[in-house]
Amino acid sequence: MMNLKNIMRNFSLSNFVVELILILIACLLLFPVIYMFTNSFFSGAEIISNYSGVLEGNNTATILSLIPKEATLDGYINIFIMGPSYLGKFWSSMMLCVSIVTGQVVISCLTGYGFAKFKFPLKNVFFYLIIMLMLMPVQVLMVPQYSVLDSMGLIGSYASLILPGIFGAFGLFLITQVFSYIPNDVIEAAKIDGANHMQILLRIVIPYSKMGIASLVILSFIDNWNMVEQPIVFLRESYQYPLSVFLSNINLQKLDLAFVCGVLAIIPSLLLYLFLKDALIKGIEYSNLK
Amino acid sequence: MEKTKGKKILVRIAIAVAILLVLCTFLSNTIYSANLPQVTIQKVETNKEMEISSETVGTVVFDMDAAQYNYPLTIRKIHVSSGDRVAAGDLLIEVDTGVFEVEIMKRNSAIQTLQSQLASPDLDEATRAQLRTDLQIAQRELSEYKEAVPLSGQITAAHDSFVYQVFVDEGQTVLENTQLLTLRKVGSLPSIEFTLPNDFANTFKVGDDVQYVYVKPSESNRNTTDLVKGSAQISEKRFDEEECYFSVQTAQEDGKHLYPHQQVDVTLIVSLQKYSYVVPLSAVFRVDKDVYVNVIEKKPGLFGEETYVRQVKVEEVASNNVNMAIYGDGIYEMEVITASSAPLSNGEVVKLEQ
Amino acid sequence: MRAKKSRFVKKDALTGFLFVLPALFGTFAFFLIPFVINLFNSLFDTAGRFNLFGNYVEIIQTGTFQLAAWNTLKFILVAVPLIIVVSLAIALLLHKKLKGHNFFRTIFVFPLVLPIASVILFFEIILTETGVLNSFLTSLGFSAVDWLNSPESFYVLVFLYIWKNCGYNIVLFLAALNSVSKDYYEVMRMESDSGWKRLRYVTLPFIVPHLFFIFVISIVNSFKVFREAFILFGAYPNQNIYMLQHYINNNFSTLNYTRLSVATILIFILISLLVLFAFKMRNKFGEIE
Repeated sequence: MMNLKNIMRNFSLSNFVVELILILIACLLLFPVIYMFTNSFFSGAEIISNYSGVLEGNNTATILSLIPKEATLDGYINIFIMGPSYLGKFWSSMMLCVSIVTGQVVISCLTGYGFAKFKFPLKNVFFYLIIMLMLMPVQVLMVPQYSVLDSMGLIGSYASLILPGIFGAFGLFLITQVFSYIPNDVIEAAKIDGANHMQILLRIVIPYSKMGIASLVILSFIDNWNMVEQPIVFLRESYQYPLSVFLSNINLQKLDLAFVCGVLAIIPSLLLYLFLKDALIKGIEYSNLK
Repeated sequence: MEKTKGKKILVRIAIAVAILLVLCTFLSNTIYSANLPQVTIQKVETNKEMEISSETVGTVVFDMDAAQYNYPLTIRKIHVSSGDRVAAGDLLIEVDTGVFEVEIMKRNSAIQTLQSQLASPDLDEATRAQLRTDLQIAQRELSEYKEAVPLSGQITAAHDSFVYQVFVDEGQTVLENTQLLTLRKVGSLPSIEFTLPNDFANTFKVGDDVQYVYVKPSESNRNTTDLVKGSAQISEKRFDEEECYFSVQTAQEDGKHLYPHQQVDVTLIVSLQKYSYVVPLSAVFRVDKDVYVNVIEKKPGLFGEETYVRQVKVEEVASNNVNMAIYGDGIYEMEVITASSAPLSNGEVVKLEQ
Repeated sequence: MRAKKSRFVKKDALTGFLFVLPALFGTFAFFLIPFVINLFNSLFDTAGRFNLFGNYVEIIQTGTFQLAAWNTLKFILVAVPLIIVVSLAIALLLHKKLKGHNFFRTIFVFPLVLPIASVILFFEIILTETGVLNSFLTSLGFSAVDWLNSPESFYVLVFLYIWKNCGYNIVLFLAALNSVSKDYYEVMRMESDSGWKRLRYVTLPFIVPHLFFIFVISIVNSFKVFREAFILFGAYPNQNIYMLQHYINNNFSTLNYTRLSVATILIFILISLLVLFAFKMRNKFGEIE
């Protein structure tokens, strides 16, 4: 019922102010993204003229502009068509993420089921161990992980990134929480019907917690799509580095390149987010420790 | 309902983007490989024989006989001209011998004076000895003079020769030691002389092979010329402060066709030598004073193995006009680039010619 | 019955264990063993002699470590309360369920999923000496500040942290707010109509249990801000930003294993203490629920 009368009737100053504040904050939060997106359409010359202050360090003021004087697809053509190296990095990032996410989902589902629905000795010990691991920043374990992976001979291949990623503690924790919300009677009923645990897992538990698993997918994907420290250490050749590393190394001299590559990097995150945003929010809520 | 519709649209967008990206990947890969410079490579040849040669221009020099006398002459008649062939004993120039006869009479009288002085009875031993010595000197001088003088006033050829150049005209009086004419003995072989800078000259030594090329009128058609090749060995090598002079004795057949001061193209060939690492000249380039080759190396890349260019500095050992012998670290297994479709820079990725 | 149950239980226990086994194995291999290696490294000298706690003492006393630790602490003390206040405020605004609040929520969470490396360039453009922010300041009459390499960089980092993570906290707060039953509000409304009073006496006390969890999570996330700091400021940033993770990272390149392991173990201890503290506090306050 969106006619003018309704709006006038329901109008209250505080609400209006609130909405205004929200809009402002939203703009502030989104501004970098919008800016990057529009700037990727700038031509090289315009970028140089706009950012000459930054690029050459002289004192001309930098102009922030959102609308290009001449919109060109030059940047896109250069990145997407002229050479396969950027798209190659995109695909290698993608492959890395997909493998890690898939593996993580599998392992987490198995583990979550075990933790949520069973009791066995030392279960709590393990569980708290996992929680502790989840909270640690990456650097804490990176160095000795290198020695372990090296002794396995995995340094230099993508497996050195995939394998630790699959066993990521956050996934285990999250899925455990998700599964623990499933009412036990459903499972008991299935047991009485004679289902074994594997069937229970596949036919009942997982479909029931699609939201939670989806949230794991998106959180894990985002986390791994952005990973920067591990590839530098665990991979040897620079051509193997994923897109995130490449982006973090772009310096100011290649601005037009940077904008387009940035857009390229955002695309999967954006699509996945739009698709799974409800699941994401649910997942954040699930990770609450009760 | 809206949510699922929105999600369906999203899924379709995602699929479209994915397909677009895949297409772009393939497209960019194709464009990229098509734009890569294409190179031809060749392995470094080891232990290959190379003919080192150097080209220069030499001058044909003939041994000449010259007719010149150490007293003034008047030319009466000249019987030959440049290019004539004369036989031994042929009359070349008639000179006025009046001057000769006057000189001979003068010397004869000087001798007679001395002889009469010797005949007088009352001379002491010292004077007699002195007079005897003087007489001997005078007589020797006279005989030498007579030998030198063409008594008949005729200058004849000593051997079969070609007249090269006549320097005097009829009726001209010339001073002593003036060259009247120069003769080239028939059958004398000319030599070719050329010079090389000293530091380079060390490559060549006496006995090394030399090839030369000269122009002679075609035997079939007078109006055209043939290029004739001949070969010989270095016969003489002589150093001076800045340059080294070489002399090459020509072959019999060529001697007939060469003429003095003729310019011939000379190619010096050092006898074949084996060099450890040889590459074609097209693989080598110079920057300032250094010599470099472009070598290909492989490194792993995202889409497989990539071939890229590496510039390697090498030392030049020797070169001819086809190959160069080089030396460098690890040059053994390298493959050098002999041709490329575009100028190359260090580190550039290239593709091999199929 | 009893015997059956125990056998049931035993079989269950085994199955459960089997389910958990792969993850356990992986965690053991890739996380536990490295942790133990770290522990050992921190206890031994560089020369390999056993040096219980000696390393700790030595390193805690070094200036760099103290600087890093102090900076990390300072960051946590400043940034975490700030983000909690900000995200709570926004969550309260969103909780009013005005038009489009879902849409706003989507937007606020978005920076969380953004690849930070993509937008870092944007921040760099704004923040360099001749960048946009400085020209804005100079036009207003203030002097330009080198945002990237001066004490002010601290505030930049705080801003980045809030920008990225407030979405996460907003969601958590919203969930917490939603869990407060409406009945309580009704009671409050009967007694007084002031929005502030409602906030202080009803809402906030119910939030408190969740608050602790959010607090801990925010602290954990604050460690993750290293990535942004590293990309924007480099490995050796200004003094005010040099944090524990910079310490670890830099010693990594010099392969100084003892220092590394000591620092990481200390971080571990720090976080564990925080978590335990949060648990204890929550248990104490959880009586309300």
